[in-house]
Amino acid sequence: MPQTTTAVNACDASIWIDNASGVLTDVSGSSNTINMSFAEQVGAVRNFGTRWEILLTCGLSAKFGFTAVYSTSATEAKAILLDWFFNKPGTNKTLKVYLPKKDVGADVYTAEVKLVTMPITVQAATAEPMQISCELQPDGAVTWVTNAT
Amino acid sequence: MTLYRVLRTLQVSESRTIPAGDFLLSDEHKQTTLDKLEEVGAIGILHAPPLSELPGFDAAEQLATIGIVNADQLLEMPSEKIAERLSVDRTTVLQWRADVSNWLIIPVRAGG
Repeated sequence: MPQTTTAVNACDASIWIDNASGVLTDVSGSSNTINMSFAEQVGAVRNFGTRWEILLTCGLSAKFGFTAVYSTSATEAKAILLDWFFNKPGTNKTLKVYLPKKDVGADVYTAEVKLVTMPITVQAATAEPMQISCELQPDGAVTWVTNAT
Repeated sequence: MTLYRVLRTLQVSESRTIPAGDFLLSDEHKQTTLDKLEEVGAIGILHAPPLSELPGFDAAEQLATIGIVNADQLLEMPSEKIAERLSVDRTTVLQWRADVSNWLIIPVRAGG
């Protein structure tokens, strides 16, 4: 089995989200985690005369775990999240994730998302910056396309 | 000019995508872009069919008289030039192109 020569890491991943004005904004420099969880609804049935289940599939769903660094700039990820929760609750924002980086040939995941949870952990005994690890949920389809620009 | 089949939906700007099943003309994109997209499997070279093979396309013989026998040749040559050489209206040529383009596009399946 030949070993892959095209493996990539997430160092240069590019994360974009609508800012307070609804303009897609690069927040890669003020965030450090995006966990994308995709799921397909599966239903099982087993009929008489067999031990084995058969499966039917239906809905698709996704969740995004997004971690922003607690910074003080008004244009960075933390400010966007706080403004979203406190000033525009219930609204959708466009989320775009470019992997492995924002370049030709990159995978682009796009969704209109709502902010579901936004826990902020504040600890006195640590030197690392505070972080906000929020959960985002798509309102409608998540698309996967290839970046051509 | 080379035709490419779009195998995975392409984002060409923040608000515009080219769906899988459509096609690209090589002269509309940088060669480095096309090479990268081909490398990641997002596009593949499309071998254009002879115009005479397209069902219901009745201009094939007429176009053959000026050396246009394949779909890519029809899409490549300026429409004004074709119209002038065949003494037909430019809108007729544009309609031929639209017909051929439709033949080259594979409709996206429902729910995809």
